[in-house]
Amino acid sequence: MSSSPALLRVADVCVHRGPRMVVQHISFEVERGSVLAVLGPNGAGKSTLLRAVAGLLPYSGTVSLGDQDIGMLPRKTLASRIAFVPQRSLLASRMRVRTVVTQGRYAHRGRFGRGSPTDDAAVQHALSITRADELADREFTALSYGEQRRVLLARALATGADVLLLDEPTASLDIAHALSFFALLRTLARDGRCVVIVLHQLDDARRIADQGLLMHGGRSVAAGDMRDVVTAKHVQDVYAVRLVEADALGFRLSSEAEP
Amino acid sequence: MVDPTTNRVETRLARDARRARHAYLVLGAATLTVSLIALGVGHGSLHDSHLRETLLSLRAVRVAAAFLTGAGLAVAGVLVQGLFRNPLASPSVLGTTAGASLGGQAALVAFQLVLAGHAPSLIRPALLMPLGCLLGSFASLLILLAIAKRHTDLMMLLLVGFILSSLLLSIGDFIMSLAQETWELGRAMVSFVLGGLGNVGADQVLVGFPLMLAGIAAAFFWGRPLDLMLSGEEEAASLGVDVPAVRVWTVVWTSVLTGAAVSIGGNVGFVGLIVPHALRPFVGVEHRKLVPAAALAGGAFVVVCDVVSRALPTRSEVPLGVVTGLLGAPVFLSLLLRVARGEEHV
Repeated sequence: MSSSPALLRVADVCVHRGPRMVVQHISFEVERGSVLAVLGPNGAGKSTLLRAVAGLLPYSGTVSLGDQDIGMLPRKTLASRIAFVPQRSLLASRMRVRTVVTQGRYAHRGRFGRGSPTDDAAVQHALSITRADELADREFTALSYGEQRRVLLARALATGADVLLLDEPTASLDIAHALSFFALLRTLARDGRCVVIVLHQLDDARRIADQGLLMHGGRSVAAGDMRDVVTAKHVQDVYAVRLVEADALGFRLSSEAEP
Repeated sequence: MVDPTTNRVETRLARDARRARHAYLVLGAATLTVSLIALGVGHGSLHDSHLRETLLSLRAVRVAAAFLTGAGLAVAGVLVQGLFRNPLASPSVLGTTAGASLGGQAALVAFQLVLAGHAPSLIRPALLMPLGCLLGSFASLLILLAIAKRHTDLMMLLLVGFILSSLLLSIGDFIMSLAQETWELGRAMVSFVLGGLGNVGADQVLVGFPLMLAGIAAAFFWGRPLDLMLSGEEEAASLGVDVPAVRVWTVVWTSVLTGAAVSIGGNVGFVGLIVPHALRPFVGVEHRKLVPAAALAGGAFVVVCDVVSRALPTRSEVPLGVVTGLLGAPVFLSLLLRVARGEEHV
């Protein structure tokens, strides 16, 4: 483990899609125990940035874990350090949930390895922390959307990675499920992981994240402490929406009657 | 400490494993039984002691050929269904068998040119046919991948496969009509294209066997990464899978299996579609359980189809592809409807 305080360090990352630069010179650092929310309107480049940080897209700039450049790491090593959960999984298989979560150990087990006690323990821990253990013997396709999200998070946790990248994990979850999901993410961060999460809801972001990165047109508009990122001015600039401070919890949309 | 949850889970997983073991036993017994029956069925009586040995060895070659054809196509079906995450994919639906068939026809032409002394032979003529089929299936898969890469939609893939298949078969038909100018070539081509095991020789089986064995072993070898590919390439990569390698090798080994199968049995359709689908409820969806089961079940299935094609009361033998097509098309239709209702998964 590195002695430097920041676990995940992203420096001057750019991503090109064809001739267009969809992520432009993004830099941020996330420490262990910290949750960083990536915010911005549709098409701001949030998901693309997340994929680049996960090493799934070609990018320029540097992404490092401690003082290791991830570009230098083999695929399997990277998979055991950074876990990525996309917004929509393509998994639609009648695999048992436990088998799905065990896939998180692929980087450790390889092609033929039978599960070691360490693997079993990691799978069991991932299942119980996400409260997916009661689903373990069900078929994945038989689960509700919210349950599937929990199982995919469990699979990501089973990798043992200390960096978690989540792309809108609570989209299409009801408020109760979303809140318990956020509570879980806070627990995961408290256990020494660093969590980067793409979010649409500013309220949610204020509730869960301590750091923010507000993006617009591929660029960083504001970065740093959550309170300094989600301000009425930034929101007005980026979303062209007026917000007024409502209470300690967050914002509400300004009504037309207000000045 | 006994965790009741864990305990229940272990029981369920153990039940899955027991079910898979039973399925393997049944498949093994079925393969043995149908092979023995196939040895006993056909023209000529085994009671004649002079003919018995010859008949049995001829039929053994034929049974082996049928088994290899089926095993290869079924395992190729497992591979493409995993690669494309599509329960409706199979070598025949995607145009891969059509590609292999066209490659085989090209090989027949090349063989004729070599025989006539118009072209030098770089490899042994017996290897020309499997090589042609293999290259044909490889080329057709590459074309399909190039198009399907942009359009990952389930139905789009099938449509592209259908169009590709029609195109390749048309080119094949064109070559066949040109080939009619030479009598031997024309005859050989018609018999190859119709598909069937009537003229299969021991040398074809000997060339096909190692190819099949290698292909089935490779399919097993890539099984776990293919399980992860069911989540899509991006998620598989994030879990540590070398996605480009899986894609390349799956295509290579699908081509080897399909090419070898077509070089032995001709254009036999739907085996790669029906067999994996029939097995999943019993052995599960994991590739490493599915691959050996598909090899056994596919082999036994084509042996049965071949017996049917021999036993049907027609003047000449019904081509093998006709039998598998008659069985496969209705199954394909019912699968299609189940997929449309969201009931069928890989």
